[in-house]
Amino acid sequence: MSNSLRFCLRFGVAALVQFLVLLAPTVRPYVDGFSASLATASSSVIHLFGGTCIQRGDILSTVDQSFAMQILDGCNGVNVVILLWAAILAFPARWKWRIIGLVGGLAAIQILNLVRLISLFYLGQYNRTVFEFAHLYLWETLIIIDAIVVFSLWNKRAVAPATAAA
Amino acid sequence: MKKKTTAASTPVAPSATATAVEPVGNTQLIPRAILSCVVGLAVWWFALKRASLYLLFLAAYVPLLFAISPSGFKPIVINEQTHEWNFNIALNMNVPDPATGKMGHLGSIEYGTTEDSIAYFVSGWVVYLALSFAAGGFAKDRLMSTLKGFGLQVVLSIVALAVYAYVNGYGSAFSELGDKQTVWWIRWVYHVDYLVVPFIGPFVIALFMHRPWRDYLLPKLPARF
Repeated sequence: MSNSLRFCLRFGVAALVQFLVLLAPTVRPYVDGFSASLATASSSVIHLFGGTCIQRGDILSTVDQSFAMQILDGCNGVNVVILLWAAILAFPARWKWRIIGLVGGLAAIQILNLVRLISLFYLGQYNRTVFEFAHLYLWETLIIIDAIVVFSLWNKRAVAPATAAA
Repeated sequence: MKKKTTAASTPVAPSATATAVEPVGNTQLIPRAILSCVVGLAVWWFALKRASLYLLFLAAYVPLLFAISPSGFKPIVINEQTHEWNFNIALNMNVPDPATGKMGHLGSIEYGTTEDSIAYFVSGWVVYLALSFAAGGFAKDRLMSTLKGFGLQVVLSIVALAVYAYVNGYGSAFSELGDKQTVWWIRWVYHVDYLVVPFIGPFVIALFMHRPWRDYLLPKLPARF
């Protein structure tokens, strides 16, 4: 079996197991809480730069209620974090490097996801068609590319110590 | 970059050969991928979405006829006014009648959804082509592997569409039965099939089909791990 194929199999198993955990009833309140915290963070950044919005739970809306968006699975960046974590766990590296990758990867994706949520909040007020395009396809693809860049940067550093240790 | 040719008798280091056939350097790969994905998705969404959905309908019709539909029914019917997609899904299971509560046999179920819900499955075609373009996959010597990858992407989108139709049909029936555990598993399959596969699929296929993506993502995998 080629190394790439072995990596892909490990990646697939790690991802599927994490998606099982994500949908577990005991975990759902934490995931929903995380989505609400993203709405809080987005609202804070908008207010920090002089903008206005109202946040209730995982819903972000304009003051006049003309536009509102809810942060759900798929919009909270957790799917892409799981895919990145699966790649990091599937890759042969020391646990120290894996932990660095898991934490750093989470941060890198969620920072970009915050930019995505705020941009979508303004885009939704401007044009719904463009909002749908950016929400469903453009940002989703850009965040996966972000995960790929993070994984590539990480594995170039992580592979050397692991290979030396082997 | 021109492809170098070397005589059989001339010893060439493997890394030198690898560099020679590499059309896109790692530094260009990501900017090109971002640009081509943005442009490709925008052109598709604003100009080609409906046409691509019709192509998916044509490509998926026969596979879904055998995979999901009950005999004598069309697997997919597109409403000409609303462009809604209606799937006929064979079930053959006993479920309670919502009106009387009595158990009855349910041979098949019809599930309808908007074309925008189906567009997820086509977006992977555009993203795959954009990733191939970024990796120099449209060069003459790479075109065949790009086309093979595109074929894989089309097959993946048809399989994902069939799974989508099935889990929605079965999900409705098992909800009627109140079988929470099975509904949970169906929800898990739905999540992976609908929210993950359409987006990650083109990247995985590009990784298999295009060396620049392999070199970028998995440059130094140890010989055995």
